[in-house]
Amino acid sequence: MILAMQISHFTAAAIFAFFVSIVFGITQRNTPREMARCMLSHFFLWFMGGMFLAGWAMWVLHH
Amino acid sequence: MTKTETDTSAAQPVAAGAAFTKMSALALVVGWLIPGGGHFIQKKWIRGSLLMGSVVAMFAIGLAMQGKIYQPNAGDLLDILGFIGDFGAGGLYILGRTLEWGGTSISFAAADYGTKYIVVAGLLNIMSAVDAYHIAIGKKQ
Repeated sequence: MILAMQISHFTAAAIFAFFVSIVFGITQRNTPREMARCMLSHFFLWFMGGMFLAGWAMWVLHH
Repeated sequence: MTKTETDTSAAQPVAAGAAFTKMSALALVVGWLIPGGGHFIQKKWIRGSLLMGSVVAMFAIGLAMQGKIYQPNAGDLLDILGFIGDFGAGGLYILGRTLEWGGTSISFAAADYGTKYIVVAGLLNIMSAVDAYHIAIGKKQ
């Protein structure tokens, strides 16, 4: 029997956003301060915000 | 030597994005083989640790979700692109293929997420290796 980790689509997207934001922040900015700010305020929040918007857009289209 | 000549020679390496050195090649290769390794050899410990943690965590979570590791193939375009993405994980990909990690088919939703996680881990690893190269050539601090 194969035991696979089961997580919701939302959790998977949030974990994805977290790790991708770290790598983007480090590779796309020059100073540690910019990196830290960019990780949170640019990438992570944009990923999460985009996910909520896309989710609601799909809900509206569906109904 | 005139002042103009001195300024020109000093500005050349910066304008050209600096020279390709042994260290820059090493940073690229080590960074690809070991996530964050390109930063470690340049003593960028925190950046290297964060990059390694992120790439390895994404790869491991992908495997835990029974994500598939693509093999070299010449079939479907998406499979070819999946292989290219996976191959970017370097040492993790080699290890995964050698030890036959991952699911064999994508038969449920979590396995699909996992497969994407593994592909993205490879792509992020390429980004971090290129970043290490940029640091080595002096294009980035």
